[in-house]
Amino acid sequence: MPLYRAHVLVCRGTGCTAGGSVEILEAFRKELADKHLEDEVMLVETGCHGMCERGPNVVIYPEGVYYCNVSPLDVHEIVEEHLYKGCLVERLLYTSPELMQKIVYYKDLPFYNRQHRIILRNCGFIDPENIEEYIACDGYQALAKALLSMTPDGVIEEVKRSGLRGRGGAGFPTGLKWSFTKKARGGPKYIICNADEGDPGAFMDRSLLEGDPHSLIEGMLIAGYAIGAKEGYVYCRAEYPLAIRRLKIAIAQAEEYGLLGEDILGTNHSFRIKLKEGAGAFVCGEETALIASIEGRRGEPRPRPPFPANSGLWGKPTNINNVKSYASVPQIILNGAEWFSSIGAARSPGTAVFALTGKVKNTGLVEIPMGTPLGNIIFDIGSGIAKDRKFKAVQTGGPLGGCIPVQMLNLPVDFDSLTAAGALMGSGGMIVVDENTCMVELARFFLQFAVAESCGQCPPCRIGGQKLLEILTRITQGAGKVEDLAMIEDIAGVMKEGSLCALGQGTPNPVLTALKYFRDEFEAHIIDKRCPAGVCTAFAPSPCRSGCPAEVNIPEYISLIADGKYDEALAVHRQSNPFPSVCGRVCPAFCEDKCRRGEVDDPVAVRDLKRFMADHESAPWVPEQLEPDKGESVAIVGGGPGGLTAALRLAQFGYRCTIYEALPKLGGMMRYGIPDYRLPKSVLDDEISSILRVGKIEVKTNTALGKDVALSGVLKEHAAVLLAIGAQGSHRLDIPGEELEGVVHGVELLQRLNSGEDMSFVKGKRVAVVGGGNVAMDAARSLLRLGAAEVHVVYRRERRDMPALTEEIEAAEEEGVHFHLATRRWRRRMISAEEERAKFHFLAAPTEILGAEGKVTGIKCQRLSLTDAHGKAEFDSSARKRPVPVEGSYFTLHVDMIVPAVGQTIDMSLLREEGINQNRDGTISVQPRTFLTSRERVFAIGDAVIGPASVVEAVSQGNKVAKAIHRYLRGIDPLEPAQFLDRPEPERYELNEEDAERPRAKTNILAPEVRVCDFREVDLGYPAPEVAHREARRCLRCDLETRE
Amino acid sequence: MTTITLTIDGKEVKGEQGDTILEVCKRNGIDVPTLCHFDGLAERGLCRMCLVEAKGERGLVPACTTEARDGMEVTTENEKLTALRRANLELLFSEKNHFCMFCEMSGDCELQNLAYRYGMDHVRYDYSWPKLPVDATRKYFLFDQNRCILCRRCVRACEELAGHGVLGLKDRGPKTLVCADLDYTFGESTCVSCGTCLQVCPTGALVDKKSAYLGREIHFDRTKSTCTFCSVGCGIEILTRDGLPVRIEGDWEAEPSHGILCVAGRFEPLYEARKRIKHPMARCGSSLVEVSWEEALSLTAEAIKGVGGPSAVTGIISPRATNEAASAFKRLFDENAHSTTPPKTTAGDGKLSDIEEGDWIFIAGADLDEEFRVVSSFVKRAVNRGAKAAVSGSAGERVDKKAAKILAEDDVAGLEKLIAESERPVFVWGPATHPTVVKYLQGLKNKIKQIGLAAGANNRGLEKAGINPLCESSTREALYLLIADDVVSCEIEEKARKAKTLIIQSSYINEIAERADVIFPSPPWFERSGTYTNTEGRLCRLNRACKHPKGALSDEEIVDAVRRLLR
Repeated sequence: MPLYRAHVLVCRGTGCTAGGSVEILEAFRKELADKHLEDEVMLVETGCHGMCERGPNVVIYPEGVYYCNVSPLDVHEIVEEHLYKGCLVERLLYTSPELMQKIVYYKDLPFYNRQHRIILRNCGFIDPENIEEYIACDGYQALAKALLSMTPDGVIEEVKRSGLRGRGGAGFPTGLKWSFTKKARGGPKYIICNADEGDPGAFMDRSLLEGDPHSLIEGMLIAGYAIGAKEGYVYCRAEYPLAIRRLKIAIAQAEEYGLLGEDILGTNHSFRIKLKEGAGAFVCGEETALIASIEGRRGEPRPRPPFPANSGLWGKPTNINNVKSYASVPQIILNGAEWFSSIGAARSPGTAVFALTGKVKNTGLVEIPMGTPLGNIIFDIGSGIAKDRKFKAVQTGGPLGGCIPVQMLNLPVDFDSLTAAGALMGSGGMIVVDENTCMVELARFFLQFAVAESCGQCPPCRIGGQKLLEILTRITQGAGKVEDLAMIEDIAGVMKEGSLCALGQGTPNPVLTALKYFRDEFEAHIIDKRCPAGVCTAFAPSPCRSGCPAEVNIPEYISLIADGKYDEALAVHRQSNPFPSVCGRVCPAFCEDKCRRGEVDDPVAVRDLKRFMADHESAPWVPEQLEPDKGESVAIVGGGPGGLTAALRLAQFGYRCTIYEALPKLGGMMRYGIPDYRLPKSVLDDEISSILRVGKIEVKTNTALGKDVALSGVLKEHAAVLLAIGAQGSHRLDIPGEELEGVVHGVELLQRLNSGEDMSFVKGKRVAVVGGGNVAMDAARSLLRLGAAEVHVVYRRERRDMPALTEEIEAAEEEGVHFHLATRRWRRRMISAEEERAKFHFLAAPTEILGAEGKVTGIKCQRLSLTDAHGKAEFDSSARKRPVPVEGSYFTLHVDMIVPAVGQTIDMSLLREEGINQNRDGTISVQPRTFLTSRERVFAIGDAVIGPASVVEAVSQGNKVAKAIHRYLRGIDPLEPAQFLDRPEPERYELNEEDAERPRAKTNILAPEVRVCDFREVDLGYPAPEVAHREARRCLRCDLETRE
Repeated sequence: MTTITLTIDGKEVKGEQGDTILEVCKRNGIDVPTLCHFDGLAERGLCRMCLVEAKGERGLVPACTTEARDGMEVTTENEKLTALRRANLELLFSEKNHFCMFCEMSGDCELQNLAYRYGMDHVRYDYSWPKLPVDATRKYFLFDQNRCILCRRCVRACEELAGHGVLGLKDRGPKTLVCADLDYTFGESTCVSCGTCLQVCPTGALVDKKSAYLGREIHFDRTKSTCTFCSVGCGIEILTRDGLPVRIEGDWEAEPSHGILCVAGRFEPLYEARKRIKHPMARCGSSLVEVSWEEALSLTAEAIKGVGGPSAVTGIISPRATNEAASAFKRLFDENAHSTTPPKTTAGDGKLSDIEEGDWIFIAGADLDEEFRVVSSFVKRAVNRGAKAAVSGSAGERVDKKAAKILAEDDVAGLEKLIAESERPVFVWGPATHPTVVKYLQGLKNKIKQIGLAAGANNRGLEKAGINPLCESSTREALYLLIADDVVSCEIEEKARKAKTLIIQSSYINEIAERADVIFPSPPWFERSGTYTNTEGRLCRLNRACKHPKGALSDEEIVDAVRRLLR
């Protein structure tokens, strides 16, 4: 046998083949020949490695170097550099999305090193078309062991003891099933392998058949011996041509080697395998339908009993198992039942193979020990959600499975836990969806599949499924009725109880779980006429608009900006949001996250364009009066963005308003929370005065509710009261030393700064800011500007978990806030990679504030870890790993000022006495959609209701509450049906080629070293109108796509 | 048989080992609702109406497919089951057009009955309003997909009972529809219009055109009788309303075909276009005039006497006549009595049910597609269950297609070889069997099952009565023709043309009626009673479904009356 110094393994799985692995192989052959390396380097075609996302994959042994996304053009370099010179081709190495570093070896890939491969052990490692490679990997040894040293009953006993459960999804104990068929009277007996894998997004069986077909053959041979069957069928769908071809080759080779046929291995056991190609009906995965299909009949299930074990193929005793079940058997026989049952969960031993797909960074084939928590599969092996969006749910078990929401990420993946959660193990599809997925639409999609694949026999499945589909379609199209939700549950019940087979019984699962965990989304579609994910086009003319809490008609004003019509654009904006100047500077721009242009290159710079139009308004805005005077007045407590918006809208509706503001000036957190370098006070003042130009609004500043006026007094004077009091309190750290001099809470610090107080005490101080939100960032950046010597940020999670806006974090970093050990020395930012990495070691929590003589001298912190001592992580309801303290890992930061910024609270002490109830988290409790509190005529919105949020969210609530108060005072049903968003008028809109290719325009930003000296505005906006116009033309106007 | 005891709805009941829960319920008078169940069809458990609770089973189980076990505890009705059944019915009603007031089957519909039974007074689900085609391409019946509940009784009946296997299903899920062949209209398909599907349809999806909207079951009278159109002698039920036949149905209980009929037996008789003879008539100069029964009888007696008595008259009797008529005829004409059937006869000791047992079915000398259509059902069914068919010559295009082997008409050697290979050969042979094969078969005698197919309906009866086929030499100048509702063959027509004296007993005006001296009205099939002897030698009972016209006589009464007058 020739020896080779290197093996080049090229993946020939379906994914990589589609990516060009045939051409890559050809290129290797040619290059190796050109360099005369054919005798030194062996080229191997393998089955699927699993990491299809990064295909085509090439692995080079003996080192095990992993190259991803290889193209035929790279082959020359690989041969030249790697095989000839012995150097790595760095650019083809895998980059870890978590650590942003290159990973050289296959075994070190987080995708692989967290897996436990038993079933897939040979996939991607051996040439599936060569039986000798299988034999070299212990292949057919288990067969020999079973045939030569075990009795059939002994084999069954071993499988029983291993605890192997059916990998087709139902999880029936495999050994028990075998014993049924063995005991069944009559003969001949048959073995069937169910390889009719038909779920959308599932490719486990296919990859196994393509990558290691002999493991199936060996498993079937052993099963045949144990059960007493001499004939086996593999039922594989015809859509898997490569799997069928490889299986045929494998069968032929096994026959040639005497492993299939008569007198196998010199025993009197004989066994043959026939391949039956299915026509691709999903229902043929059901065992009785599959049998009917093999027999040449219409593939339809029949009631069981009789079970196939007694009456199966041609009415004879038949054992049916999934590909993965059979493929597990040789390993069990070879290594023993104890070895197998020691892996995985107690009641679900062994491993589970999943096709991880959807919105994760690493999609592909994954094999993990049973019982691994869902979160680990998605966030460790899958490396988290693509584009760093928010995780929403994961659909397991294919179209008959169910979705599992974020609060269940700790769910161990095994048969029983998944079933208890309403989902299924199924055959192993795992589809991850992010925040931009509509759960109603997702449920509808799966339902549509299952309904179309119903065999049509029994009424519950055939008609019930259709009715469910009709209802869901109706909901996604905006015609849903409140009664529909009860109807869904009713029909689903009939289907579950009444359907003939598992297909009909399982069809409602995705809908039921979606309804169970995401009922609010269904209600949003039905009651609010909104699709929160912005998917259902009936509700969302464009994704950006559905992403905007205030539902500003973004495409329209962007188009007006492109035409230079700023005033008209502003009019459009102010219909929904009267704060274009403020939001043009500080908005989190939810719209940009949803922008469809972002799927092409980068989203349209909506916020920058907004600021540009606001800065270029030609004449002061006077809000128009929409309705005549009502002769009633409304009190608004709190002059922040929510209160001001509500006052404006109510005034437009004809109500007189009085704003009671505790502080000297209007603006709330816009004024007292946001530093000038982000939002200059003059800009805010202009915006507020233009709103007040509506008239009818009386402003009483320095008037605090509960101190200066009482709620009952205000109620006497006004028809209604709106509480928009915000959340100015600060969460305490609750650690010793918080009372020391030098501890200033973030919100308080910003408020003092923005009130114009003397802040010179900061100068020269070393400060530790505790927290990772926007207040922490604002505080840190302000502290630098106030002359602090050092600013440390202590945050208990990782950087990617920080709730602050990314651009704020980046700006803070540029300005010199070093997150672990910060200094102002930004000029020395060129630090070594080691240190660069150290900066990301966020995991730290303060445990004690140290002091001397009543003053802060330092802060003692403890390092945290995202896994516990056993390496297990726990996910919280925000899909983030919960940090746990590392014993004995204390360190001290020597600082003389501490700024805790770990959350805001609402001062409820006075409100509670006034009969206003609050929720468990401290926010004011209001009725959904009406904003009515527990006290009559009293409404509440804003941070005090939803917790600290953005300006645009407060504006959205201000708009809504104004309408609610209006309806309330006019005696209109508060639950008046919601209106659909208006659709744009048909218009001509053309993108030219230039627009389509233009990159996102950037605004001018002050250099860090300049801006950090004082509080001048950092972002200078677009330098010229042309820049803005061209940027506006990047908008694809997707809202026009769905117009009538 | 082992008896098992189980508890159903709290009552202790007995059943037999191997019974399904449904069968035990039936034995004990417990009415479990069903839609897809039909006695004699394989159970599919698909309509989900018969779901019952059985202690220890996972979920609900269909009573029709679940084997009853000793000690089982079953609940067939409770609140949960009622709710589920009603919901199931609501789903069915919402799926297609089930607006009873417009449906032919209203009142006789199983779906409707169940809706009443379960108090389904409205449908909560939205109607789907599909627009599905109505297939009216068949002459005798139509198929309205809009009223189909996809219970598949028709599909199973076509395959399992009639053996034709024409009906099937297309598409899947909510798009599933019953279709003929590979989705042809019935008219273009291989459907043979046997009508079995009509008889099993629980709703108004498959509708008989003739009897549509003529009334409900309660308006009809049912009379069990025997089909008179070939020698198979299928049991029928004649449905009449106000003294007129409106529909023929197969009698599920009757031998030999157990309800399977053919187009000739089920539909064609109701489309009789010939003019009925209602009164006796006699020649008066060049035309026939209506006369009284007495006058017609005495004119007949005189005419026979005139030519020299019965011995000078050739009596010809159709095999449509009953055994009773044949005996009377034989008594009157003795040696001169002849039948209209061809001289060749076939016989055998086998029964048609033997075909069910055979592993090889041989067919010779009979066109099963056209002449013995119900026999083709026996053969096709045998092939469907795995038996093989061999044909000598042709057994009709459709049967030939099912045959594993087609031999030359006279290939005795081939037959011999195949018979030797088979374990349970059954030979079906008809009047046109090649003489060498006939000879071979006669030589085989009782060694294999042989089923001889006689040409005329009651040919075996005529043979038994001692009436032989007509031969050339035996024709006399006076002819007495008992043709009943049969058609007149060319040969008879020729003879009648030559006859100087012609007496006819016929149900309908025919080609030779104008030449007759006396015509007696013979009762047509639905007014005839008596017995037939079918091709197997089985005695079959014919019952009058409609009253005779006033004063009318049966065939034997006429012949006997003539004989009395001649004494």
